Amino acid sequence: MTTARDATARAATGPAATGPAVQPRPVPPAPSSLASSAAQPGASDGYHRLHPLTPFLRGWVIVVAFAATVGRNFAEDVTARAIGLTMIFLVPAAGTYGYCAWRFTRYRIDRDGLRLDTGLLMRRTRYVRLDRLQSVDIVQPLLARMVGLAILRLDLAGRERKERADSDGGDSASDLRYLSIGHAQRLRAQLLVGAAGHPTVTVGSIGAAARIGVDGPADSPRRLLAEVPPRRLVAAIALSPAPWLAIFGAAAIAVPSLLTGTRAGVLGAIPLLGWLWHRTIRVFAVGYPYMVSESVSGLRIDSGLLERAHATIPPGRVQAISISEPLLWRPLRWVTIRMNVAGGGPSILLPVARRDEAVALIGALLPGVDVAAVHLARPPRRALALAPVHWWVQACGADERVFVARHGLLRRHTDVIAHGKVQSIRLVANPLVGLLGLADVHLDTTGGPVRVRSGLRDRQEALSLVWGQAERSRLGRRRAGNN
Amino acid sequence: MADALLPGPGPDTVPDALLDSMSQTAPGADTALDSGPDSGPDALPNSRPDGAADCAPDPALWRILPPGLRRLRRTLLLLVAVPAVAITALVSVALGGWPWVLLTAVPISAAGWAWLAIGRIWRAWRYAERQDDLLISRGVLVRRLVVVPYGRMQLVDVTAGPLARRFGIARVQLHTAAATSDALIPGLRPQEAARLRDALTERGEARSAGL
Repeated sequence: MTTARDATARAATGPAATGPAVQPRPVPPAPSSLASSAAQPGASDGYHRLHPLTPFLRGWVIVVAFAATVGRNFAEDVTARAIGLTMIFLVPAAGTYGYCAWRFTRYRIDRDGLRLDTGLLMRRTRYVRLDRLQSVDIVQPLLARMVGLAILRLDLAGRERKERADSDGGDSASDLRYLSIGHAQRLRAQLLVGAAGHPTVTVGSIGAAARIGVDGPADSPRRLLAEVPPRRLVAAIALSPAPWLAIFGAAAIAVPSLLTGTRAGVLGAIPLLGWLWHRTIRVFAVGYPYMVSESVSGLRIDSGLLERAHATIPPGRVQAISISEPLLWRPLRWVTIRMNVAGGGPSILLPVARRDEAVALIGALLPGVDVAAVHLARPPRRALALAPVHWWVQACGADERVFVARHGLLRRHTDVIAHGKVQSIRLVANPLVGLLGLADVHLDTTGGPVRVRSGLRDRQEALSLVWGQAERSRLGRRRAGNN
Repeated sequence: MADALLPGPGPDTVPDALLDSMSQTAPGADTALDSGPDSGPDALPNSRPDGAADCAPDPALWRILPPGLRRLRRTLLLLVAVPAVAITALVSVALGGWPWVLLTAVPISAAGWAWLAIGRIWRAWRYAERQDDLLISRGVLVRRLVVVPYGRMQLVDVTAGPLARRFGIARVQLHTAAATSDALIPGLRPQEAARLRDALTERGEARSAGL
């Protein structure tokens, strides 16, 4: 009893005490690349803080929102004095909150993962295991980009993001916002080395020499797989129905009221114009510089004109891929490629590509797979009764690595899933479908835009499909495990 | 333990059409893929019937659920149906007199139909443990067959409410990373549920693969 107390006392008082029983202060080995970035304060115990400009970037939202509500309330008799008074209270309050939130947020990287402490009143510690990391994104909203900051976003399985469409929303609990862009890149490289250390399937082959670059301050070397030419993107937007619907809809609402001289119709067209902006300018701004490349740390997607996003998906984390061909793009043989990444990573692989490019890209992601060469079989002819129009589109097939299913009349989808990625196999026979001796087979995958199913198969064929797929998936999982 | 392993082809377990076709072998499956009009002779090379027939489970592997589940569901049905019939009878007598009493036939026949449906659904629900995956087959009107590989299981839930505990029933639900895979066994004896849970987690660990 006394000896133990002595030992702790010694350890606490004198650093000279070298009792092996009690550890002094645990100092995790700070990685060299991080330690070198002296701009991050509080690095002595392995913890780092976010960038000091963070409160300003997060706080201005509060200031603007509050000012807007206050401003609307006092719109009638707004004076310079009222504004001044508001600002006197508001600015320090927002500043204090922002400073405290920044002060109490810190993170640390150790061998297996990243630990993130947040919360002023409610403390929360989140531990992100590197081998569970599904993708790492660097996102730069316009304002942050102007001051050289970025959000580092970690996607984990099982916590699918509700809505990816909104600007930089989603589950911010495992976001590091904001870091300087250089620091974010170094941190990402470091996290990805840990994440790629447990690969399930290798993404293509890159020379071992490329590994040298991983620990460097810059990004790991990469090979460009595909990019989107701006002219093709503009043409693709022009060939989608949504902008034209918006234009004609807005005109149909606005023109009659303009002719009669009332103002209301013009106001009614504004939401449609907003939609038009959303489907044209915004699609262009997200999709114009769009580069898909591969590196040792996985698949890289760099995109965005104003708001930059750099997603990195470690090897083998793409669950399923879908090639979709809208009706108007088909004469040009253009396609969109979507994908499922567990944990709500990026869902678009390429906004617009030629069909052969798409097949080549999938071949690069899933080595040895040629989607175009997989033979697809249609459902039996009696399925025409249930699918008179789109019977001929439906088809499915498999080779030794992937299962491919095709469906959709106006927007034709070709869904591809590697056998090893199938989560479960379901055969469903609705009464109507069952009456004709047919059944649907679903290959379940993680959440995302891609759902793999082959509908209206013959009952016997569907069953042999299920048993065959169970066997193929077993082999696929084993192959992935051996790698 | 042995009584949990009810044999498949007993008098109480009439195999439905789905299971019939499952236990069928190569000749039945042979025509399957080539019946598509455009499918050439080389359709789905890897799901050749000879391979598929090997994978189809032995019919003896299938286990049905304990009768306690049927008893539980029928008890719940009675708890609703008896008051419903009584109220209908009372109200119709009070309002109209005797021809209106025939209205009670509606809840009675509905309850009778539900009674039979419970039996059929219970009988159709079965599961099988294979080397690498768990199979669950269920449904009368909508037939379903789910194959969940052990290596893909994220967690196994065993729940038993107070009423279910009185009937000696526990419910086992399997979760994978896909939200759509609905692998559910609505009622098992608690020992069997615990055994299945342990067996599933053990095999899941042995065969676990990263996402």
